[in-house]
Amino acid sequence: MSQRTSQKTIKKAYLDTNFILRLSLEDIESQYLEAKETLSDVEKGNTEAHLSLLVVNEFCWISENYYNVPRKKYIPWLMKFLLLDKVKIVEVKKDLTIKVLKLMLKKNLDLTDLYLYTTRGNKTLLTFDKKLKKLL
Amino acid sequence: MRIVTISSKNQITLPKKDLDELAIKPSSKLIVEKQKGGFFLRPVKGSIVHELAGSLKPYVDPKKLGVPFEKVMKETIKIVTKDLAENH
Repeated sequence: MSQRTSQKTIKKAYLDTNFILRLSLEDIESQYLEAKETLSDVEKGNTEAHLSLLVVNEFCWISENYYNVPRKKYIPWLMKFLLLDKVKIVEVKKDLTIKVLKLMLKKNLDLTDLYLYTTRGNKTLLTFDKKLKKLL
Repeated sequence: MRIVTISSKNQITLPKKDLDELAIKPSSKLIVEKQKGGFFLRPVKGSIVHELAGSLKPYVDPKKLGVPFEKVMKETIKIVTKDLAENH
């Protein structure tokens, strides 16, 4: 006897920096609309959005250095984005990413430095960066 | 204002009357924001994506809007390189 299942097929998307950037800026209409449509689908649970930590890093780097968006604006934006259940970080747990982003709000160091600081465990973090050394 | 107790599973129970006032139903989503010494709970009204869409635009110089990504990357590298040369 066959058994019917109601499992829905979930699409998997792999997002680059520009894709989430256009959602945040709403400046190039066609790209903005496509990003919004895809991410609305992610919010509804029909699509899983996979995001590399490298993309999160690049988003922070560009927002800060090119667009001059204050951290207290773009970090909460990213954290709210990560609230979506179906947004996954490829390399690490989402909680760790959020922890590093929260630290970025408190410390004037970049994501790479604060990721190293957060994940150093019982290892000695060797660096020539004065600001990072001060944090250790 | 009221006092609630954290359970052994780190859960809190909010009175139904208060939730009804804000039209918060079971499985509604709340945004939990950590603030100075506490938490602020806010119902997600509508869509998170809708809240996010275009919300960083007001903080960007209008001249930088609509610039293709390849150019954004090139310009960012130039800005960071110049900053490193001047400040390190």
